[in-house]
Amino acid sequence: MADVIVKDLTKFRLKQKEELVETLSHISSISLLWCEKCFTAEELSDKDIAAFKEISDLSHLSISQDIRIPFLCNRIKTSSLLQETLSPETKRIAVASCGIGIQTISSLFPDLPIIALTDSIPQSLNATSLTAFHGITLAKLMCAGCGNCVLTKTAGICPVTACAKSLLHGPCGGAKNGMCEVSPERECAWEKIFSRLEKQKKKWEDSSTLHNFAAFSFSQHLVYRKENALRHEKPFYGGVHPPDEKKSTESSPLRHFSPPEKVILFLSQHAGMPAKPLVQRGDSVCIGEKIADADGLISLPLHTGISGTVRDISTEWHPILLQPMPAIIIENNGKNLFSDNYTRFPNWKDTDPDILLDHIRETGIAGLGGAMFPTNVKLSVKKARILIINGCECEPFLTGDTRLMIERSSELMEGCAIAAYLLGVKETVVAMEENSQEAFLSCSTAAQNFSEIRIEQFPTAYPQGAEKMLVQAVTDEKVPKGKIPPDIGIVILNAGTVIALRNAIIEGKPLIERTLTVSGPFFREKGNFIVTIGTPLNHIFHETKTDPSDIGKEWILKMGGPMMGTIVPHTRTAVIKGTTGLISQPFPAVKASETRDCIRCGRCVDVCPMKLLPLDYVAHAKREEWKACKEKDLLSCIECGCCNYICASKIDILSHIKKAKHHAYYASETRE
Amino acid sequence: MLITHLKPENELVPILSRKPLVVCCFGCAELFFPEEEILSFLSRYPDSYSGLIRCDYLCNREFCKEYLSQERIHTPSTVLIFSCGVGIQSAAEHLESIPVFAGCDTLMVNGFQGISITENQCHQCGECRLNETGGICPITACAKGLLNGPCGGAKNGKCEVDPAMECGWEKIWCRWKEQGKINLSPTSIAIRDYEKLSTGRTGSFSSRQINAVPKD
Repeated sequence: MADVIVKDLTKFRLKQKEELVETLSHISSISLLWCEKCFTAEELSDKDIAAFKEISDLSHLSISQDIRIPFLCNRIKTSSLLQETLSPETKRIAVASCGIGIQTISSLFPDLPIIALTDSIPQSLNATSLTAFHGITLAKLMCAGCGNCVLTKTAGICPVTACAKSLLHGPCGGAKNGMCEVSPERECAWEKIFSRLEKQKKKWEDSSTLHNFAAFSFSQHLVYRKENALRHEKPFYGGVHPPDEKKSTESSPLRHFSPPEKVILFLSQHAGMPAKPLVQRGDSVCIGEKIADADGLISLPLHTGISGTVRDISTEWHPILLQPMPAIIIENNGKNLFSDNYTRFPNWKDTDPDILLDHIRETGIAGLGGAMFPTNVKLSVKKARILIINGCECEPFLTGDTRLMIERSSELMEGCAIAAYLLGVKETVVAMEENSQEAFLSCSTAAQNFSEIRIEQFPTAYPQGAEKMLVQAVTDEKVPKGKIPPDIGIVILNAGTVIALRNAIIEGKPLIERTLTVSGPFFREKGNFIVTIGTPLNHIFHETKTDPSDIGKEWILKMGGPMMGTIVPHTRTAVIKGTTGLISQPFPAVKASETRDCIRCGRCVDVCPMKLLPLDYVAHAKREEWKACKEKDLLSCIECGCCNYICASKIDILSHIKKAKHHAYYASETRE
Repeated sequence: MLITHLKPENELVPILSRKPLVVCCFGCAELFFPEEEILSFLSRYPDSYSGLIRCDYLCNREFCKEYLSQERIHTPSTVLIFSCGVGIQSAAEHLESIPVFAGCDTLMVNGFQGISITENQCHQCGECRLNETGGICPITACAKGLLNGPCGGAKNGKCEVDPAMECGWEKIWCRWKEQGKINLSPTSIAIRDYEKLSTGRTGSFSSRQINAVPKD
């Protein structure tokens, strides 16, 4: 879309001056609420504000508060915003909004008199239905929602909205030269219908059906409303339900790949400082040997998953940082020699937690859910109350954690007990989504021996697995703005991480392998695999009998899930500790673009689980207003991608947000 | 932003006999779209359509052109579209000489002006009365859209038109009581000005709206 963006698609306008002055002259003070309208520019028009100022001066009105809220009709957001801002002494609220916004406010504050300052503007052009709405995008086509669609018969031109008289059985006969007799500016809809029918070599068949005005009953309406309200509030605000695509892999048991010929072990595959190499070119190493050591408090050592010779320490293309990064490359000698100096703690209950934590650090365990945060740091949280095991695999396609919970539930429970011991918590919750009954049953059986562990299921929604959403679902507590769950005594570990933790303590095994879901229409073999960390992607393509040469031409390869994963343009990289899946997807018919214009439909606001304003960040980022982004709490964004998924204009909102985050927070910090 | 439901099966089956290309728009999927019903309907007639295209926001002309481009769909004889009325019209406009069939009925739901589907509706009457009626709209909350008080037909607070519906005027009256102002004096009796809905008044607005839509 060019820059013809819609300046005046206003849904309401100020009432007549005389009317407002008369209403307001009896009143001494009000709190003023403006809706920053939908389908219009993001700022209120100065004209409206000036006009209202004139009126308020005329009626000697004192305005105690002037609050502006975008999308006033969004009840949940508006109510939480007003709780913070509206002064408790408010006696009267004057609202400038469409009828829905005004009614929302009045239902939120039933005790306060409401003054409507505006009239809603009718948007239909037909007689049958007083209101007709656009679809979600701006189009000149309209739909009256009549409940008995006749477009099939009328070649796709709607007689209800396009004909001034909304005639269903043919033209009225009053049109002149193709123009309507009601308003000479509009074309006769029936003439258009007939000419298109002719093009399609069809004839108009009047089946003489009558318009059914009762096509949609009030009771049906109630059902829809209730469903919608549930969707909004449970288990968390917003979120989306993308097609889950898990069918093809959810019943495939975990399998091993054959050992790779070489591994590429990036020094940076955990949050924090990259590891420092301990080996040199030509050294020979065994399975499980430490080849790089942690550098600093938040950092982890690295172990090799194959035995062989260090071929090189050079730079390879990193799949998350998307640039060449240092890595140790080891060639397999095929001997499968194991390093035998594993330390085991079968009696962990009698061991000092600090010794165990040191051991966990030595085994290089990082969060396997994708964030790759060192697990020993997470487990050293003081004053933890609740431990949550995250088994909510909310990303489409991914099924690796679900398989782990099915096949290794007893190991998982043992791991939970170890983690609970280290943290000193009494309450452990294993959280999973309702879509994996098998995992629920398997875990419930395994948890029978552990009285402190309980298994909970939550409705399937994306991003249920995000930390803050999970905390809210499990404990009904909210993580305050700018805080992380450990600040309120809650520690969250991924299910795969807990099993790795158990293996490290009981078997002494360092983190050298992880689960990986290979799925998507372009893989010839799909499934859940146990893969050595550092396995080059070429090896995975070889094992799944898939030709990688069409990546980027015919289809896209994503590392991680389709919502939050990164696009990998070639196979010259390797699996790292945070690789949850390899997904192949077709190119979308319409690509998300950074340059398209926002129509302010507000769907992104509707789905943002953090209750932010993604559309505003786009507008600010385009104008490089980084400070405004900061004011609108951009840092709270968890980059879940719901806004990108839902955007009606297919704007690449996430890339705008990432850019704005960089400029608003990180770039300025380095300058100062 | 519209609500749709599937047309009755006996209307859809004759269309399938023409082996149409099926287009499903799941654009408003997070709202109300009968996705499961459509897929289960199609699975009952697996060989009766020539292809299935899943897309979103079919109503956007720019996207519609991409989804239904020549390379993607070649030239089907007929197209069956599951989407709201706007989506079907957009597709029909783009396909022109290829007949389109509507698979869904779009339901009349007033008041999707903003983003949320809320309990509240707005009839866009052009003369907002909410400041007289305690913030409860008599046009949408009353089945009869009465402006001058209750009709007297309500029983136990429920509407005589649809017993699932509460009487809007009883709600207004209760709200007035709460706010301590029962003021239905004869002067406040309103007569609805339907002229505010006329094309003369809205026409200019709508043409502005239409002009704002980008041209090809």
